[in-house]
Amino acid sequence: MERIISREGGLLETLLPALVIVSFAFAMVVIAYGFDSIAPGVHDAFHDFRHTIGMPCH
Amino acid sequence: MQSQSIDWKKGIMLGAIAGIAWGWVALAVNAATGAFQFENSVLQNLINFAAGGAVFGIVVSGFLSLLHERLPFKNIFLRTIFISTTLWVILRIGGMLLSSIEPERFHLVTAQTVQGFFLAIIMGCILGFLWKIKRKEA
Ligand SMILES: [Zn+2]
Repeated sequence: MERIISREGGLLETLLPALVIVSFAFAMVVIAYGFDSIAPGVHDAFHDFRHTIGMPCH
Repeated sequence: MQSQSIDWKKGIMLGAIAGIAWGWVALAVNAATGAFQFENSVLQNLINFAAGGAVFGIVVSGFLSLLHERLPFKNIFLRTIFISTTLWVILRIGGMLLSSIEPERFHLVTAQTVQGFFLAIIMGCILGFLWKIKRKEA
């Protein structure tokens, strides 16, 4: 099964890692800046975390 | 496809593990330095810092597995520290832009910035350590 996927999914195989990582990078940005408009509640949930790692806040 | 590198799925797993550990280190460091007075309960923060740390760790480790052979350093610690501090600096520059656009919402504190930079280096160390172990196993 895995062998079939890796042989036939050449494009997916190259794109998938990049897509997954870009999605996580997007989540990272939302968490770092606390964009509530994108993810409601993210500002408060990661508030202490954001200050701890030196990201801008109020 | 060198046997030296780790495939990206494993990279993401390692990133999540390193990130959770890093999140808790960050929690402990800030508790010790007092750069920011925590507003949430400790239990809440154990969860939040693990989640936030995991996301950061996955991104750093993910970039590492993508860029691995293209980085100018051979040493795994130099590579991980380079990526984690670069990402942090990019985020920090973005933060500066945001705070110049919306000064009331985004505020920068020097003590927290210094602490954050050191934590980015620590992230690189933790991740580099995990990659080193895993590479040996593979
Ligand atoms: Zn704040």
